Order: sequence, then C-alpha cells, then structure tokens
Amino acid sequence: MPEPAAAATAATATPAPPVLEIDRLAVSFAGVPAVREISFSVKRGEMVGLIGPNGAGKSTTLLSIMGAAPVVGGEVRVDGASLRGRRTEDIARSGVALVPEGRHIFPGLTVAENLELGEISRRDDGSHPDSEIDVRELFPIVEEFRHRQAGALSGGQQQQLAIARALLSRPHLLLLDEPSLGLAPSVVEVVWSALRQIRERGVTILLVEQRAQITVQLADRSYVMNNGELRAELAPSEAEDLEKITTAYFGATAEGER
Amino acid sequence: MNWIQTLVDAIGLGSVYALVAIGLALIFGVMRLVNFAHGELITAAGYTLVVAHALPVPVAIALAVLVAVVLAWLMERVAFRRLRNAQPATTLVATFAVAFALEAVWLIAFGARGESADLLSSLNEPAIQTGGVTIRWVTIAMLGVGGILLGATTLLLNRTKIGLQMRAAAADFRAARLLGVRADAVISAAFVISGVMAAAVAILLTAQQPLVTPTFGLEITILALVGIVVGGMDRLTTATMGGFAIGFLNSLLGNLLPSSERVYLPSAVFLIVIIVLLVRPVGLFAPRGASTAERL
Ligand SMILES: Nc1ncnc2c1ncn2[C@@H]1O[C@H](COP(=O)(O)OP(=O)(O)OP(=O)(O)O)[C@@H](O)[C@H]1O
Ligand SMILES: [Mg+2]
Repeated sequence: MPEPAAAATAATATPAPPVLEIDRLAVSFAGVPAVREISFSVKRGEMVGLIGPNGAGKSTTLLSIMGAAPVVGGEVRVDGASLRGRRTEDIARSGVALVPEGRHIFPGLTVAENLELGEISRRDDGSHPDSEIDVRELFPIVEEFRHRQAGALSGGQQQQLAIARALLSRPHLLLLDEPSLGLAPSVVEVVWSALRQIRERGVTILLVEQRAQITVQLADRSYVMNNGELRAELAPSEAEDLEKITTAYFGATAEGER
Repeated sequence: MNWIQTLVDAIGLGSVYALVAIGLALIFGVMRLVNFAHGELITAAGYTLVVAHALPVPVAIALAVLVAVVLAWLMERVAFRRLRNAQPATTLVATFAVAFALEAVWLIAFGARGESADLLSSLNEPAIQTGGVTIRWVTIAMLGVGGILLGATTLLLNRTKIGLQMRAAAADFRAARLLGVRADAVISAAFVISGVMAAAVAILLTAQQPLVTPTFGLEITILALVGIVVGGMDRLTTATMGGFAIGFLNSLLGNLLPSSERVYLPSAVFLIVIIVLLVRPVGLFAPRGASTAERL
C-alpha cells in the first residue's frame, strides 16, 4: 500500500473545517428576531464581507460569534468546534477577536494600557504564526501616543488603536464591525490599507461594513444582509454591478417586512 | 474640648469611613451594584473579634480578615452572581435580602444586646499628650491603616494586571470581556478587596468602642453610602472623599454638639447632605463636565 496515496485520500476525505461556520444562526431580542437562521462560512485566510443597511443584523451576527448576543437557534463553530454556551471571554481567549462597532476603546486609560488589555487573550503557543503582525509597524501612531489618554486621540487614531488592540491577541479569526464608520476619507484610507496588510499576512477576516462597493471589491466574497437574512452573495467582480447590490440591499423591503 | 483634637479625631473617623467607601465603590464601579450587605461583612469581622478575643491579637486580626473576605466572596458567588444580568432593582433587593438574612444570623447567634470585642482597647491609651491635646493610639491606627489601604488599593488598581482589568471592566464591562477579561475574576477580586476593607473597619471601630451589635456594620455603611452619593458614586476617588467627608462631619458634629443635643446628630448630618445634593446633584467632588469613563 503506497503511503503517500493513503495520506492524500485521508486528506481529501476530511478537509480542514472552515475557520468560521455559522449554521442556521438565529438571534432574537425579547422575542423580536434580529438574525433569522443565517448560514455561511469563512475558510482559513479568507476575507469575507458582510454588508447591509442599518438594523440588518450585522453587528448582532458578530456579537453572537463572541457569545454576546441572545442566540435562540443554530450554532457557531470555530475550527470545527461549537461555541454554544461558551463565555465571551473564553471565546476571546481561544483566538477570536472583535473590533466592536463604535471602537469601544477605554478612553480613561492610556493607549499603552488599552494595548495591554489586548494582550490578555494572547496565546504564545505558536499555533497561529500567521497572525504575528507587528502592530507598531502597522500603526505607528499608536506607538507614538503610548502614554496619552486614549480618549484624547482623534476618531481615526482611536479606530487604529481598536484594531491594534485586537491584533495584539494574535487572533486567527478577526471580526471587524464598521471600522470606517465616522472617519474622515483620508483616515478611512489608512484603515483600509491596514486591513489589506492584515489580510496579506493570512489572518482570516469577517468584515462588517456599510461601504458596500469597496467591501465587495476587497473581500473574497461578500454577503448582503437585510432584515436578519442573507439576501445575496457577491464576488469581487460584481463590485461595479451597483444594480445587483442595491437590489439586494433594498429589494425585499417592498414585501413590507420592515 | 480642644479644636486641634476635635479635628484630629474627625480625620481619624473620616479615614475609617473612607475605607467603607472604598469597599462599596469598588463593587459599584465593577458591577453597578450598591451592596447594602457590605455592613454585614464589617459585623462578621466584628463578631470574629468577639469570638477570638482570647487568641493572640495578630491571630484574631487575621481571622477577622479571613472571615470577612470569605463571606464577601461567598456573597457574590452564591447570591449576586446569578443576578448579574438582572434589573438593578432586583439586585438591590437581593443585597437587602442578604443583609437582613445575615442580621438575623447575628441576632440568633449573639443576641441583640451586643458582645464586647475588647482585645484592642489598649489602643485607647493616649499616644501624644501636649497642651490639652490628647491623641490616642487608635486615631493614629485609623490614619495609618486608612492611608496604607488606600495606597495599596491605588497601587493594585494602577500597577497590576488584575487592577487594569478591573478598571477596564468598570469603564465598559462588555468591551473588557470581548478582550478576554474574565468577568468572574474581576468581580471576585472586587469582593475580596471589599472584604479586606470591611475587616479593617471592624478592627478599627472595635478598638475605639468594643461593643459589637447585630447592626454594628449597618449604621456606618448607610452613612458611608450617603457620603459616597454626595461625593460622587461613579469614581473611586470621589466616593472615597465623600466617605471621608461624612465620617469627618459626623465626628466633628458629635464633638461640637452639646451632649444633650447629640440625638439630633443624624438629622444634622442628613440636613447637610440634602443641601449638598440640592446644590451639586452630580456629587460634591465630581469634576465639572465629568463623564463616567474612568470609574476606578
Ligand atoms: N441590545 C439590543 N436590544 C434590543 N434590540 C437590539 C439590540 N441590539 C440590536 N437590536 C436590534 O436588532 C436588529 C439588528 O441590529 P444590529 O445592530 O445587528 O444591526 P446592524 O446591521 O449592525 O445595523 P447598523 O448598520 O446600524 O450597525 C435591529 O433591529 C436592532 O434594533
Ligand atoms: Mg451594527
């Protein structure tokens, strides 16, 4: 029995599971559904976009991955293991990092202290060498202002701090919630270029954005979410297809669901 | 009555109230919980000193600290932990319930009349006596222990990993958990520290006046709470200053009022508190335009 062939068969029989699998996930707030049985997955090294209008359920989806939303059905798996019932802090410590909507840096703490908090979940077991990014190189500004109060930074600087803080945990899955929200165009460019670099280092990314076109362009695949459901899947080549994007965004609202 | 002495005594008692305030403010900062049962930790430590009065003083003190810390930890573990996501009103009622339950325990175990914990009464001896001013050892102990514990808490919060995590959790609990801060660990740490503070308060109070009754810790806790609200509940520093101020005021008025009018002391204190709250509802020591961003 030739060994290489056997190994190859074994490999094709059990391919590595996707880094993130969302399986019929449903979330409700006090009986009102926010996410309605959505399913999708993100493979290692992929960058997947999640776009959609206000209130679509994007943030709720990210929070439920972190164990911080009232999941009522389905489940989330990371590297094949179900996260059901796991605490937020344990999910963070297992290598999933979220840059939350609105940044949520600690304004009363220094930049250095904010970064130190990012290191809490760092595991130095070498299991995810692909995510060892030199944050100082990526965001020089964060290093420069180490000793300032984080609340004294500008919005763009705070966003860079929030991303830097998440990267310091060396996540193998990075979730970003509207990193460009409320930023000046020049700063948006800094953030996008950082995202491109993070992606080039092989970090698996799920990016939630309102800026549909640029997200579709950048991501390997993008889903349009509306009213708690995934309405369309878009390839980078479809970034120019504004009609398809807008239909997916607003198409079904005519049915009077909202 | 010499005014220097009046002042020194007031500073001493203020320090004890400041320790009560630190215990309460830490829990409030991390959990948004006003722990009415904090006084029972003080009472528990007080009764430990009663029971342990025949033991060597350091052993009795260590036991008092141990009992208060374990009880504080248990309180959170058994009662408050399951209510973490409950409405504030529910948790507030729960702290009342814990307080009343423990008070019933003290009443059944030790009776209503009170027991004496006089193992430190020698601290009432004068340490310094010059020109009509008598400073007792207990006042020096209050100042010293108050200062040391305040400094230790500040160091713990500002220089240690768990302290940083506590400050982060106090500012934004969910954001802290998203980074991997363990909710159970920071909350337990806050309760353990509040237990240490409670034991210190019990030791200092019994040194001054050894009678421990079932409401021994309750009275000082209620007053300290008033001080915290007046000082500014949202921040450890303002809460501590508020606690200090109310203890200071209480001692000062107690000394200034003629003994026939001491019964009006609580009313006088509350009157001043009401006036302060009318003039500065955000708290006496809260900085102008204060945000709630930096609570510990
Ligand atoms: N904590 C909450 N309590 C109650 N309802 C909530 C809560 N969080 C979100 N929702 C509701 O769930 C739905 C989805 O909200 P979500 O924040 O996930 O949308 P989103 O796609 O992130 O929108 P945006 O682009 O505005 O950030 C909305 O209807 C919202 O009102
Ligand atoms: Mg959102």
